[in-house]
Amino acid sequence: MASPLIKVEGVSKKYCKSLKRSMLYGIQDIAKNTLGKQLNTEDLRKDEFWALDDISFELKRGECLGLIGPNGSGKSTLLKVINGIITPDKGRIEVRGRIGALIEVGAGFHPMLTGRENIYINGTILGLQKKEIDKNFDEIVHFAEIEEFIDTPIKNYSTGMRVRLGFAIAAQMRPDVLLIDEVLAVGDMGFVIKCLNHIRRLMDHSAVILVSHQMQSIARFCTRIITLKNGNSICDTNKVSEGIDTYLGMFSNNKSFIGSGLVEIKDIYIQIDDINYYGKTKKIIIPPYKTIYLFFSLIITELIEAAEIKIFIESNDGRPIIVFPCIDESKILKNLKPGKYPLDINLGQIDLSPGRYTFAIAIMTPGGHTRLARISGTSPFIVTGDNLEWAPLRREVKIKINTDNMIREIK
Amino acid sequence: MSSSSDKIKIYESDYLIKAGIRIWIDMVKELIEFRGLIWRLIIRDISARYKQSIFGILWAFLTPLVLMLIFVWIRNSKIIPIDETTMPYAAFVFTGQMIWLLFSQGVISSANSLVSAGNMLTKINFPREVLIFSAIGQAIFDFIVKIPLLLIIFYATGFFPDLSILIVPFVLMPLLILIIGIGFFVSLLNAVSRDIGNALSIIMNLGMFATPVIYPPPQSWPLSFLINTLNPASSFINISRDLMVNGVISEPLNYLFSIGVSVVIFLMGWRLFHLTEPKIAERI
Repeated sequence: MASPLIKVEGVSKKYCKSLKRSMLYGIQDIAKNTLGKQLNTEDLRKDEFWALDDISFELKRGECLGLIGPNGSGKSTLLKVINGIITPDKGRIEVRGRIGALIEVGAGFHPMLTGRENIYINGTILGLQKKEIDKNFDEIVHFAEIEEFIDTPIKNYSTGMRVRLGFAIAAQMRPDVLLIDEVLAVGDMGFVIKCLNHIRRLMDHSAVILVSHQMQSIARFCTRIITLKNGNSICDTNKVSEGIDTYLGMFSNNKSFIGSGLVEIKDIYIQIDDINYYGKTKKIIIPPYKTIYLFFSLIITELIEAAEIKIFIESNDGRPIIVFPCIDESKILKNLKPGKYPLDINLGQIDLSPGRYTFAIAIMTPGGHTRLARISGTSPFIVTGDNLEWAPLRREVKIKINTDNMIREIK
Repeated sequence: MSSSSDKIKIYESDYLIKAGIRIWIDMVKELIEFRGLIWRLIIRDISARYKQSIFGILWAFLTPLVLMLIFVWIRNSKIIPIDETTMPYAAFVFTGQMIWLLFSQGVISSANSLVSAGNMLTKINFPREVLIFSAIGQAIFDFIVKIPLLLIIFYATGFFPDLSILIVPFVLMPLLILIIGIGFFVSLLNAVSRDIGNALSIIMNLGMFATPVIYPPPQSWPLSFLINTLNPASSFINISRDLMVNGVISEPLNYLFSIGVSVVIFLMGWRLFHLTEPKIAERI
């Protein structure tokens, strides 16, 4: 049990950008292979690039590796290399036991044939014996929830039904190594939950690699994260939140500004513990449970009768976590003449879970009818801590036993 | 399932070359392991094809029947002079057609087998050979359904075959090996460049005229050598007819030569295919 099920050592894979050239290289490589000549895999030929560059890791039973990264970073290529669909140009991969790949479920379905026929065909393609399929047939149909349509040609199935059937067949494999590539994107909520639960059960006795853009699934399943960027592993960590942060951090420069032009929001910075982060470009890292002050200036170009300010803290995937509606007790936001208005706001102590957060500031007319300005993705900061939570807010509480109502024995 | 968990798979850039001669054992083992899949794919292709058409199996009869009628008419009207044949001409053309179609259909469908599997190749790992092996299933099936029609034609033309017609299926076995062997090459070429598939259907249409399908095997040199010996499909047609007529094989050497060619092409094709297999998914 202790020996790794997947061993990936320095795996690299190159691809060619030009189709014509890739055909030429393909023929060259095949010719060289046939003649038994060693291929020169070290160098890149014209138009080639490394789709995967020197990736190494090991995975044991019960572990789940999350592969994350932007589109085109090499995640699916890595899965295909591990699955043996394409060979690496450099390096070595060792896989122990049966591989189950949910790379694209339902590949190999024949549209003219019925669900029943396709279960047998697809199951056989995936490496199941006829006996195994016979035994699990009812379970597959039940899992896919297509009892009624089992003798209907697949071409009349909806996309969701096909995916359900495909997953149900693949789910019967009980593999030692399970590769999952964003297959559940089409199923409805109920089915996705069912699949995730099933994957969880499979995970107990297999090593899993999960490719997903949904950080919830990654955080829920993975014990380890590799973040890929342009074929390189830029982060390999057992701290799941850290891995997710590097991924989400890739998109964090998407500061967006929407506005009417009447109001501008400038000079935004935060202050924590007397440390003023004005103009600081480097990462702001703070311990949990700190009081945060937010500073910014409004630049007004035309007279505004009344305005309202709302401040949001957003999580790294852009979800607002908290909203701070600003109560304008001293009526400073009435009849604003053109000019610059520096504001400072005490946001109080914030119980954020460890992770990366940004601010969003919205200025609007009272009641929110017209948006005057909105800026988001600004002043990023990272809350540190050892306690990984998926909930965005975290507040520690004490428990007490109410001695008056305590029952000592249960008869 | 616990038995499979000890199995180790290794993927390396030059793994297949390192394996050397042992690879043949692996190749055969793999084929045996996946025989169920070959069978399933054959059934899939056949049932899918006949589901989509109303006349179904009739189509398998139609091509050779129409061609037979055309050539009988051409011969009778003496547009093209065709020598006397060993069996009634209608039966002669039909037997030739049956075997030729087995060959040409088989080669064409194996040429397309990789390309038409597309999506399956890039997503699922299974030995790609099964696609080539199963591609001939359709052609064999079409061959078999024509047998009753052949017997009707025999009866109608008053031809009574020799009892050695019963060994014709066994005599044709090496032809299947030849088809698969050629299939290995053309399917790979077609995967790299689709031109091969297009060229192949023209070659197969013309190839019929370079094979003794509608005319008896030529006796004069060099045509006899070019057509009867160099064309590996010819001797299968000739020997089958010989067996049907009187059980006497007229050119056993040509047949043995064809078997040799078939086996060599098959082994070379299989080896090349196996070497190239890991690259297929990238080039599709």
